[in-house]
Amino acid sequence: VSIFVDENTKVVVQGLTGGQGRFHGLRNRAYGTKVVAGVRAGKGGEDVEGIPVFNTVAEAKAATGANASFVSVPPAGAPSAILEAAAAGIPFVVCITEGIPAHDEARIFNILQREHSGTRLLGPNCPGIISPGKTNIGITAGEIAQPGGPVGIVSRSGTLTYQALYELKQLGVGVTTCVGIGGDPVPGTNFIDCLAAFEADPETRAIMMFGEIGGSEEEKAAEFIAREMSKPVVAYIAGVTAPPGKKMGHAGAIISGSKGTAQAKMEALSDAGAKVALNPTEAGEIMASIVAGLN
Amino acid sequence: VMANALEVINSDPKVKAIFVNIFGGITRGDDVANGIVAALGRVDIQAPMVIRLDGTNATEAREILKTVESDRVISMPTMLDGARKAVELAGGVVQ
Repeated sequence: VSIFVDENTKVVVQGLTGGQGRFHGLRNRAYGTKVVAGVRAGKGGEDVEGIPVFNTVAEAKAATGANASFVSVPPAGAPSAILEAAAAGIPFVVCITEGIPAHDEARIFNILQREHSGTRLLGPNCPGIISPGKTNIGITAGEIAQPGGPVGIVSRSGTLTYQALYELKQLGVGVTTCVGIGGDPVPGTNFIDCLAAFEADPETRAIMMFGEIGGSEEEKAAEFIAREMSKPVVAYIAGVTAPPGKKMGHAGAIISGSKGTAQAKMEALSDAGAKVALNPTEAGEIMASIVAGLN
Repeated sequence: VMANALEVINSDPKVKAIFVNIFGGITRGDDVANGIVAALGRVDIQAPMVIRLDGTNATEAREILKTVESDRVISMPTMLDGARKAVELAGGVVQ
């Protein structure tokens, strides 16, 4: 099985009538994802290539039974779109939006924890989630992913999420679920949430974890791996040559003083028993040999 | 965006090779490829360029790039191959 989503997940796309929402919503549908509805205030009653559009998430959910949302809304509107989905009782919300202020992210995080504990937010600023062959919610090019198993992927960077999928596909290794948690400072779902879900999923038998400089999420994940994980973990950390104090592409990817360096994260993960690769291709090769050794 | 970025890099005389490495999700490969074509038409790119494009609309992107490929504009299939080629063109030692 996959984690968080599966082939029965019904998706409502918030912002389906916008440029990105339309492109990726239709691409997700073409992959096989059950894209059942779109939401855009004022455009209720219209449709996008046969996908009905509603004014609110609550209406879309009532009419279609949607149980996941794909938020493709610009930064100014994304926080309220996420909270609207949560208030409507959508249990899984993927937000790809880049550029939401960290303060807003913290506010959403706290509101979700306090008032909507039944809703899991993935992102913002993430590529989304794909369970190859079953469902693809977000902006990942589905053709780069090999269906099946036994590997689960969790990654902070979008591009490296794709690279992880690509490397495994080249080696003929299948993926149960690939989760891109996003590169912002306050992600709704973190490494540990995904590691715990993969540990509990019987079809996932090894985990590939791609992190990057900044923050301490990789170090916390390392503690979790040492304490709770029975399954093998292959890790790669981007940003070995990143200069301190410089933001590297993602809002959260910054070395502060001596904290958040790639070296420290690699060491923590290695000490926790993870196999640490020096580049994504090597991570794929290590994983392929681990998978070959599984019986 | 792509064309402007290449102009910025091109203005630095210390650059000996340019490596464009894109695995597109929301970024569409054809947009990147068109940007490269536009930049090549607009300015004289000083350093040789190695391009690796994958992901969203990669097939379209590779078709577009074919029109400008030469011994100074080279497409490579993978990130590692591309990185090695760029280092080689810059006169460095490939590990």
